[in-house]
Amino acid sequence: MASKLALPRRIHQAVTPPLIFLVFLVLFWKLALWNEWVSETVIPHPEDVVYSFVDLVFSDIIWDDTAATLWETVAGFVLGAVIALSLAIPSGLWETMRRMLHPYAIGLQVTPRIAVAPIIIAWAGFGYSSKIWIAAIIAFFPIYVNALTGILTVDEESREMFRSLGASRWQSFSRLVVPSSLPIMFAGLKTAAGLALVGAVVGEFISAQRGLGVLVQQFSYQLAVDDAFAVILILMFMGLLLFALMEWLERVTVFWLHDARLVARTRRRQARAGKRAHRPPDPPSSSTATPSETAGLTR
Amino acid sequence: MVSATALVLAGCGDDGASDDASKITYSLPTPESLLFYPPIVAEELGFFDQEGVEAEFVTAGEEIPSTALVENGDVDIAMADIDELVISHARGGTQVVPFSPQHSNTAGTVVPEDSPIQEFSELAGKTVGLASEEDTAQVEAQLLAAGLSGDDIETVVVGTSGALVKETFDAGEIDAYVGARSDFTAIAATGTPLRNITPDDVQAIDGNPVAVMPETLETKREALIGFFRAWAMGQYVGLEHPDVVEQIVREQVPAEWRNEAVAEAALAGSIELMQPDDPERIGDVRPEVWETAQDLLSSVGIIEETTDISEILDDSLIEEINDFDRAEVDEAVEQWQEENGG
Amino acid sequence: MKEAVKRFDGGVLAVDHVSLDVRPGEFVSLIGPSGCGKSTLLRLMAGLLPLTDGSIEVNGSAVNRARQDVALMFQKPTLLPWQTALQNTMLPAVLQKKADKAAEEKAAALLELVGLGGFEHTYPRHLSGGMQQRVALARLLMVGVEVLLLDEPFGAVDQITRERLNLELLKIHERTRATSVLVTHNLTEALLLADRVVVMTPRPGRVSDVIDVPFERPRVAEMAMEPEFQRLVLRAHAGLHGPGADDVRSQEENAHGV
Repeated sequence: MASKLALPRRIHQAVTPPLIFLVFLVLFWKLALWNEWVSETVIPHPEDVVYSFVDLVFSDIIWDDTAATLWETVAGFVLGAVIALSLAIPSGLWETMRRMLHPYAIGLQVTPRIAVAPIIIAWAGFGYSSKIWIAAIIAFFPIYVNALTGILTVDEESREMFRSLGASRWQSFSRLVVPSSLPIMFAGLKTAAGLALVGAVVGEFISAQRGLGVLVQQFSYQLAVDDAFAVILILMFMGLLLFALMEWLERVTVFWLHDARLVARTRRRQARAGKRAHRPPDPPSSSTATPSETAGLTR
Repeated sequence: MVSATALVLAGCGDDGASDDASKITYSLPTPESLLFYPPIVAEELGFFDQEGVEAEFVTAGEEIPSTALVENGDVDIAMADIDELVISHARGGTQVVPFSPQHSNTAGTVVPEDSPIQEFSELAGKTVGLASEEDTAQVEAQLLAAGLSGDDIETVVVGTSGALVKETFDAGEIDAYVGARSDFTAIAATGTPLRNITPDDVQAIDGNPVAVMPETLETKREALIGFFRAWAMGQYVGLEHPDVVEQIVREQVPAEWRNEAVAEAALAGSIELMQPDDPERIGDVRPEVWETAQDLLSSVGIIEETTDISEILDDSLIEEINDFDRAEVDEAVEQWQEENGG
Repeated sequence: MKEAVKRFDGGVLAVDHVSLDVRPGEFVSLIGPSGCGKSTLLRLMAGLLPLTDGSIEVNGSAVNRARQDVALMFQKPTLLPWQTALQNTMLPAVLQKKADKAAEEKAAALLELVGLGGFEHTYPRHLSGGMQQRVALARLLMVGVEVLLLDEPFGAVDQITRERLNLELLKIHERTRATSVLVTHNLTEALLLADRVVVMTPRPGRVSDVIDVPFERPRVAEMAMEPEFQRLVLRAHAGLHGPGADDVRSQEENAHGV
C-alpha cells in the first residue's frame, strides 16, 4: 500500500534527473552544430530529429519494422537465456562439466559477430531465425557467466546448514542454490536484454528485409539523417523499455532485496493470519467465555 | 572469402530454394528497394502470376557472397558481381549467367561538378576517396583503363556513409570518390552535384548479373524463363513508363521516399542502369564486355586466373525471355493506372 | 553419548587425539583460543567433516555424515533471506516433508518461546542480528533433537543481547535436557551454561583441562559474581594460556585480595 502511494513520486524521481540532463545534452548538441564542430550532414539538429520522430511514429512506415526488431530481440533473449542456463546450471553443479564447457562459452563470446553472422545466416536462413540466433549469441554470455557465478558463490555455511538438516541434493538445489543465485543472475539478464537488441540490429545490418536496423540503413542511404536518428531514438526507447521490464521482473522475483516489497509481503501475511485468528478459536476447556471476551481479556 | 569457405562448409541449405518447380527464390543485395524495381513492378502488375511463377525474395546482404548462396542451394538465383563469378569459376565453380539486367556499372568514380577534373586521366597526383580497402583494386582497374597506375594517385578510405563522403568532398579533403552509384545519387541530390568520370571501358561492365547453377537451369528452366520474362517486363515498364514505376515504388517502399530529391534521382539512375544495349534483348549477356572486364580485373591482380567466358555466359534464354508483347504490357500499365488513379 | 576422537587433517594437524565423553543431557562448553580446532571438532561431531582417524559416536551409532538427531548452530544465523521468520523456523520440517499445520503451530510457538512472538511474518532483512540468531535457535528446536552443537552462536551480537540469549539457551536446556556442546571464546558464558568446561590448546588441538562446574541448576546470571565462579574462570584462563601454576596461585591470591 505504501508502494502504491509512492508510485507517482517514484516516477518523478526516476524521470526528472535524466530530463534535466537531457536539456543540457540538447543545448550542447545545438552548440556543436552552431559552431560547426560537426556538420549538419552527419548529425542533424535535435528539433529535426524530434519532428522526424513524431512524423514517423504517426506514419505507417515504422511499425512493421519495430515489431520485427522487437520480436527478434525478445525471441533472441529467451533463446540465449535458455541456452545459457542449460550450460550454466550443469557447469555450476559439476566441476567436470564446467571444465569442458567454459572455454567454448568464452570462445563464443570473443568471436567477432561479423565473422559469425554469415555462417548463421547460411544455416538459419534468411528469415527471422538468423537474426534471432545472432541476438541469442550476443545475449548468451552475461547470462551464462552470472548464473554460473551465482551458483558457485552460494554461502558455504548455508550449504552446511542444509546438509546438517538432512536435505537431499535436489532440495539443496531448488531451495537454496536457485534462490541464492537469482540476484546475480538477474544482473546478467538485465545486461543481456540490451545486448539482445544490439544483436538483432547487427543481424539486420548484415542481411534482413525488415526491421529498425534496415530502416536506419535505408534512411542513411538517402542521407535522411534526421530520420535515421529518429529511428535510433526509437531503438533507444525500446532498449530502455526492455531494461525497465527486466528491472520490474527482478523486483518481483528477487523481492528480498527490496525493503518496500518485503514490508508489503509482511503486511499481507499478517493480514491473512489476522483473518484466520478472528475465526472463533477452539473453546478453551476450562472457560465458557465468548471469543470476543477472551480476546478482550488477553489484551 | 573466409565467409565463402565457411558458407560452403555450413552449406546445408534446407531452407530457401525448394523443389517446387514453379517457385523461384531469388536474392538481391538490398532489402526491397527502388534500386531493383523490376521485381516490385512485376509483382504489382501481376507479371509473375501471369507467368505462373511464385517469386520469393530474400536479402543476401553485402557480406555474403552470392555465388556461395546459389551453390549451396539456399536460393535459386542471386545477383552477383562479375569478379565474384570469374573467381568462382577459376576455382572450379560452375555458376552460369543467363540474364544480366544492368548494362552498365554500379560502381564508378565521381568528382564534384565544379571540379576542374573532366576525365579520369586527370586524377594523376590527386587524392581519391575509397568506399573500402577492397576498392583499391577497383581503382587500379580504372586507372589501368585510363592509362595510369596506382602510384599516380593517393588513396584514403572514407567509407560508404553518404553523409561522411559529402562532408569530405565539401571540405576538399578528397578530389574524387570511388564507390557505388547509389551513394552518388544521394550525395548529388543533397547539394553536392557530381560528375561521373569513370573510364568508358569500366563503365560498360555489367553491374549485377544474375547467377544460377546449371542444374537449376535444367530442372527449373520453364520457371526461370517465366521469372526473367516477368522481370524483363518490369524493366520495360521502367523504360517506357517511368512515372508509373515511381508511383508503384512509392507505395511499396515508402521508407525510401523520405528524401524526395534523393529518391527521384536514385530511381532515375536505376532505370538508366537498366537501359539495355538492345531493347529487344533485355538482360542480354554480352561476351565482349565480360572479356574486357576479365582482362582489366586480371591485369590489376583482382583475379589471378582467367577462365573461359563462354563457360559462364549462357544466352540461350534471352530470346524466350524477350518474347513478350510489349503492347500488352503497355495496356496492363494503362489499366493499372486507371485502377490506381495514375 | 560416547565420543572417542582422534583426528589428523591432511597436512595440518587440527585435532590431535582428542577424547571426550559427554553424558546424556549434559551441557559441555569447549573453550580455547583461535586455531585450537574447536570448530573443527564440532563439525566432526556433526558429521560435516570426515575423520582421519579414530571414531565418534552419537547415541550409540557412529557419525559419518549429517544426521537428524544432531542440530547445528553457527555464528552466522544462515537464515534464508527470502523467507519469513516463521518459514525459516519451519525449514527442518519442510525438508523432512512434514510441513503441516501442526508444524506451523509448533514453529509459531517456538518463535514465541525465543521472544519473537509477533515477528513471524517479518523477513530477516528487517531483523537485528540477535533476533536472527533467535530465529536460528527456534529453527534448531523444530526437530526433536537430542544433541545440540553450537559454534559460537552469539559471537556476532552485542554483549547485552548476548547475555539475554545465553539465558534463553539455559532455559531451553532446562526444558529439553538436550545434550549440548557449545564452542565459545567467552569464559563467563562457557562456565555459566555448562556442566563441564573443556579447555583446549592450539596447534595441535588438544585438551588441556576439563573443569567441572558444580553450580546448581537452574542457573541464574548472578552466579557469575560468586567467588567460586571467579576461581573457575581463573583456572580456565590458566588452562588457556598453558600451564604455569605460579600464575594460577598468584591470580587466586589477587582474587582473594579483591
